[in-house]
Amino acid sequence: MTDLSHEPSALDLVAANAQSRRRRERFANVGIAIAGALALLLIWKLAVMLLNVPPYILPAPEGVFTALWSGIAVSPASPLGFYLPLWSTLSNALFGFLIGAGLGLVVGSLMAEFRPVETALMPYAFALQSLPKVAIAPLIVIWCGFGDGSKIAMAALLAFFPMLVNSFAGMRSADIERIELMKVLSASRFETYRLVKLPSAAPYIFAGLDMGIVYALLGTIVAEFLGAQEGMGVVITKAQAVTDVAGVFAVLTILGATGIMLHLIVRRSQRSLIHWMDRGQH
Amino acid sequence: MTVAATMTLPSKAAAAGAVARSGALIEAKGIVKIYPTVSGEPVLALDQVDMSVEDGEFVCLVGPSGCGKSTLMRLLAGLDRADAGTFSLGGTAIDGPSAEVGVVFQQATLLPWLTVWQNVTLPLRVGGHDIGDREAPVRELLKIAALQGFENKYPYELSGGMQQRVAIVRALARDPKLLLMDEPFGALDALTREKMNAELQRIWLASRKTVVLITHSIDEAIFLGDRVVVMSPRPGRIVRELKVELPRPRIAAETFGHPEHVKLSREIRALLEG
Repeated sequence: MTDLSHEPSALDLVAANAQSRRRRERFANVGIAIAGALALLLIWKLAVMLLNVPPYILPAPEGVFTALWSGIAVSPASPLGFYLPLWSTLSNALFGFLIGAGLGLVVGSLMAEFRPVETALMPYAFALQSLPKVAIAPLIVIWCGFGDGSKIAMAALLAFFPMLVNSFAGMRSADIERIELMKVLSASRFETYRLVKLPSAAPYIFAGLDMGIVYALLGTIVAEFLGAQEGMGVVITKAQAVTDVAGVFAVLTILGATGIMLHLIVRRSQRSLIHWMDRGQH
Repeated sequence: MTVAATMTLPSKAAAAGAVARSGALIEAKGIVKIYPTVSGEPVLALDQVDMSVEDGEFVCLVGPSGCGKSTLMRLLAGLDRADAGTFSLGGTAIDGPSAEVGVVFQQATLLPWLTVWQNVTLPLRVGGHDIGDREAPVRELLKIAALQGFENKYPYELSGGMQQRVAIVRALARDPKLLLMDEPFGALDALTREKMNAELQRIWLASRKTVVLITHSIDEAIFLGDRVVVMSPRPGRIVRELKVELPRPRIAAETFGHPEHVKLSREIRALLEG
């Protein structure tokens, strides 16, 4: 911009206009979202006040805020804060997610690549897929105990299926012409997998990761409800025991925010890893 | 690759290998291909096709859709096997994909997750090899194809014509003896297609590969080919072979309307309309 001899061309102006319009639109959208949230809080507050709802049924927004603040504004090492239980839940969920998603990808790939594996495993995959998997949680707790093991196992179990199904479907959707190209080049089976099928499946795999990460968090919490020494699920059951509904709401808020964060991390890495997606097929 | 015994007619295969006339790169004798169909009635796609292509020759195959020209190309590429007859490339029977054959498909079929450079060097890196001393020739090919400076771009950043040129460079990366092209410009608009024909002629004049190009455009066949092979509708047979005696490099403005072009074009059209 210091170069004064440079006259902005019509194209530059159009581009600048489009950019500022986009920025204005984004600001407007954020504004609408904030206004919506404020309106919701207001309705909530008014409803509690006007209908005389007791705080052990539904606390007022500021009650939830106070509970939230008392869990946040403490030392990270405090047993009263949210940090220790959140760390426990999050690390178990992530560890389980890595195991479950990794296994899902491997088994899904084997099923897509080898017909006999598909024939042998497909019926079980379908049966287990239709089973409400949280119903297995009591068994998992019996087998893996009340420690981290059962939390990790539940997270892995719930993350496994979306990955299995998505990686299988993704590999099968690989363009036949690209596979024939690899055949013409006398590529090995593994090269075709690595260079064509796996990247073709990437959009599906990311959809599976996106689902899997949220499911893993869910699985960990369910396992914690059934018995645990630490974790956000424990904080919820403790608050429930003393009808501290504001406390329950505070934990739910934290868990919601955590879920959104995990989802955004997956989305962000998807966008940078599969930049070619939706931009022309050939 | 050297095992010829798997051919359907081993005695004929051996004979073809032994006589391999000097100058002929491809020899096809009595090729028959039958496809099973869902309805149960098998389809005779190719019926007793004999064809030979000289080393360094540019041959264009024209025919109506469903005449088996793509089948013939799949056989030459080693993607399918003939049900009868023998096929040889440089005296050796074709019994599978070979590094001596480069293939360009109807669609560019690039890998969108790889850059232009990674795409064109893919044939070199497959099989655990590295690019080795092919780097300089491939860079030269990119230059000839007017793709220099685009090495680090992704396919979605290129136009359709450029993508197809990347596919041609990729097919030439291993320095094959034979370049097979299956309606490579069918997906492009008419003007781009004409430009691509000129580009292809330029690349061909620089590399002098043997080319077999399949097309259903009569103009394209006459503009590019040394010889035009006309095929009949199913079952595919070769009805006529016509030499194209137009001087090279051919220029669209001069070739179209040239008496030789008009004569050939009329003749081919008559054959196709049968």
